[in-house]
Amino acid sequence: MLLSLLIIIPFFSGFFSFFSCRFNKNFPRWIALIGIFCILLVVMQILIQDNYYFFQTGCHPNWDRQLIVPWIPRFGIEFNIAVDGFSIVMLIFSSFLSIIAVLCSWNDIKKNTGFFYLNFMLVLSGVIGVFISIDLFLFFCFWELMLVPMYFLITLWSDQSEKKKIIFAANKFFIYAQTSGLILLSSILLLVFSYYHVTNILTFNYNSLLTQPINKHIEYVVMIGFFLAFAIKMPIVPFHGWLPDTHAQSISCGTIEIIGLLIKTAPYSLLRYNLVLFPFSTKDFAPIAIVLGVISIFYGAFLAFSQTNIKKLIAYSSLSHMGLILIGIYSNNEIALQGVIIQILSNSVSTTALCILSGQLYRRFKTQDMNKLGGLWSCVYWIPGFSLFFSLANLGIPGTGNFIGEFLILFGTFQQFPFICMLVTTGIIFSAIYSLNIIQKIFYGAYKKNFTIFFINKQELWTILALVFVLIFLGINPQKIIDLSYPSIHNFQK
Amino acid sequence: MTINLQQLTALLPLLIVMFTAITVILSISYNRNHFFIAVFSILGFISSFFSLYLLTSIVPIDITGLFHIDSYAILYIGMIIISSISTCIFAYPWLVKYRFNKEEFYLLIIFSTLGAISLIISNHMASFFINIELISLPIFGLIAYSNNEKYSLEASFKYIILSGIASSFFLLGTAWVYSVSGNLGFISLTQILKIASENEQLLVLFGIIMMLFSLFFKLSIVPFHLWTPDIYQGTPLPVLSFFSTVGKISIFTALLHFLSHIADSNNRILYFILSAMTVLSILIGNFMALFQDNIKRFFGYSSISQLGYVLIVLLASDKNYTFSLEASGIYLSSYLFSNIAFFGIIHLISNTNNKKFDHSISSYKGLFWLQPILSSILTIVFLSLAGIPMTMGFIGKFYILSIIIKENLWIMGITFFIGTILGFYSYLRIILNLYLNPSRSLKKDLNIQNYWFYTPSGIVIFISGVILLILGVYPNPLITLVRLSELC
Repeated sequence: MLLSLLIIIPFFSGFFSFFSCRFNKNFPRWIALIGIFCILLVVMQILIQDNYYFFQTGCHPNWDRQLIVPWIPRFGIEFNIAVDGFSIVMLIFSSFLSIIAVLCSWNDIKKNTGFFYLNFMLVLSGVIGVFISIDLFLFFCFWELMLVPMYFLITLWSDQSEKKKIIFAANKFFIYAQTSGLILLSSILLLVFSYYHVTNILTFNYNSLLTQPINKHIEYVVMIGFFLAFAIKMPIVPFHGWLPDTHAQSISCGTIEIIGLLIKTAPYSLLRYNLVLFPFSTKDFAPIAIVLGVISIFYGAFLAFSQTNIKKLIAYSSLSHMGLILIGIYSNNEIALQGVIIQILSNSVSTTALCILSGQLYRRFKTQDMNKLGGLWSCVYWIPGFSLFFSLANLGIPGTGNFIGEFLILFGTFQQFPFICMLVTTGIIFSAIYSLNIIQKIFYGAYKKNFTIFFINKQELWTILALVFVLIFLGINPQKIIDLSYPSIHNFQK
Repeated sequence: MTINLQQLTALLPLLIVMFTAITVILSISYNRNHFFIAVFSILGFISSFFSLYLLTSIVPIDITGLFHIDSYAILYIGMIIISSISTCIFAYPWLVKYRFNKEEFYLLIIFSTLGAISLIISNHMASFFINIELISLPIFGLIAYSNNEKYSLEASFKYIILSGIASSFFLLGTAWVYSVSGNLGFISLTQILKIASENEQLLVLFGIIMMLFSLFFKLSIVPFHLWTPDIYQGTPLPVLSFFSTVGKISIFTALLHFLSHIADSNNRILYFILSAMTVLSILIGNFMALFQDNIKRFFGYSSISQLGYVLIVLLASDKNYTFSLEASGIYLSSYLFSNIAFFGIIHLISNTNNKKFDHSISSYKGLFWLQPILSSILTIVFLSLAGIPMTMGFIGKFYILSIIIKENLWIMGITFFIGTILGFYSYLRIILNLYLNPSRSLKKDLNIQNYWFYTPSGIVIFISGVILLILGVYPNPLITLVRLSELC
């Protein structure tokens, strides 16, 4: 029952906040915030109730909690949700980041708050649904459910002065995402029908689909389909076209949703589906994926260096880190997979923080162009210091979660692909270059204009401090996360 | 030729509609009373709808060689009656304002419905032809009903001429087939394709293709689609809702029925023509919809592509024949409800407006902030047409995609893919338009009363919107219904 609450709470709190807008302008925010807190409490409750510190050695994932309700029996589709350690970790983080996003949108969103939080909560329920659904059809539904509200978040609340550009970027996002969705749906159907061909059972159940290996060639095709769908969402280099534009055009809490939550569903799904459903073809495909990952790392880093728009820079740096995550996923090594989880979390925290900071700068200076800013260190309190911290975290200095993630990924990859690992290590140097570039251009140097000195308010300060603490916690004590997700990871990597 | 009681019961929905028609004619000639006739025709349709229940136990049944009623027919007849009822309901407030004779509108609707119902059950080329004409002829009148409006007469004339040509094609085709088979029943088609010599088969094939062209014209499948946007633009909205649901659903069902008799011949030429037309109508329909500014024209192109998708069903082989019947049932019912809701809303908006509404897409800008419920339903309709999950249209698309993957129709798969992406883009444009900041002219002109919700058309719109959503989230009842008609 607790599991169903995970879907019900965000969904209905979204609708409540939409209708509460009529009574008071502040209600929607509070309802959204309380809703997310409730989700967090439910996740915590599940976490405490189940003892997560044991090894699972069975060859199928053992779900600690599962809820099955028949949905469309004609196709063997069930409303089938379950959690294991990995989902729990992702759930905690997505609700944490959503709280941050709500807080950060607290003063930014002035018009149509009800509709804003409706969309926000719908995106969140889609993300949560992706993390906990075990039925492939259900998974697909949640995968698609995120898109339309996200589209609205991008278009309706961004800075309306550049309307054409915003709509163009949002359309790009939507078309890319729908392409990914269609590919995903077709490959799911292909998988299901070839399973049906072998066993004569029509089912979308993840666990049953695991048991029966299908024809090798079909498996390869389906695997490519899944990979493409997730790679577009992730994004990986040839499919990244939507990210920078979308990212640059949307408001800062919208970007938190995209970078913090939305695109983290892709590596999750890669881990959950690609590695486990198609073990053989994944092995064949791994070199290609790793090459794509390497290209992403360097391409992202180079382009990040040449950007003048802060948000685009963050988007490209995120692209570069996604390449690293992809390499970790396909490195066929347990340590690397643990690193991937840490990296997913800490990368989303650090990029989220950078987005928030850039959003705060944007609110004050009305520009995202780095050339127009400069020498802010002496006229802004707190923001430069935090920016420095998070940029350094982004490039992976020890003590932050990013370091642990990168280290584990590289360590794990080295055993299988030592040369790739060495190549990737040099990528860190490039990320250092662009990180220092942004800091130098914005905060150091001479004044470009005379800005008045300002302080950031307490609420902003606390949200950022929370992110700092999480990042340092991940850096100092990653074992907690690794323990929590170990059984699932162990099952992924056989 | 005797008809026993059972066969008479099977014809009951038809008879009730006939009875309604006669009563309406008599009533008009005696005393014109708009309200009475509207209510009476709606009641007639409703009783005809409920009489379908009596049929469930006696199908399948043959009636005099002209008609064959099976359980699928019941499903589609139900859909058609629903559409006719909603048309009458939508038309009433519009006709109240209409200056000339109002009552004939219902008469024409009833006749056309009569044609549609008997087309679905017809099993003989004579009845097939007559019923196609019976659908079309009242529609000429219906299109021209608002003849004081721009484009209306033009649309009517276009449709009359082109429809006449299509009918002559059909007759030509029938003659070719008859020249070989010597029999006009559909059953003879199956046999003739098996036993005829190669040259004769070519003759029959030519005839069949001619007949198909005529049907494709009525469905506005691509090479024969050029009339569609013009006629959609010129037709009054209640008629359009009738025209694009009853006309298309009944003819598609007839096509399905017709092709089921020649499906097992596995003819290559036929297959090629079908798939080429499917590909073209999906691509061109979706592509042209991108550039439309008028929402009625947009819907015309969109209906071309929607019917293109459902044509994929025809390409499934015999093995999956029942599955494809199921798919078409579900797809068409989602098409029906989205059409009803869409035209209902557009009609409501334009009918309550003081000024002439030009139906350009930008005139709906920001509707959401003025009429949240109405435009939420409109959003659901567009999402459903685009096939986004949690709507009924998605279930239909899901079925179609299942057929594509099960049958390995790769060309169709690619077409489906491109078409759907194009479709997303064009629907998205309109959806987004609803949520932008409202334009000043809309604020000024739009005066839908807040009690629209309590009018009959408001209720119909709301119900069909809710059906689109609920059956999208929980499609079981619909699937069970469609499968039920498959089993018996």
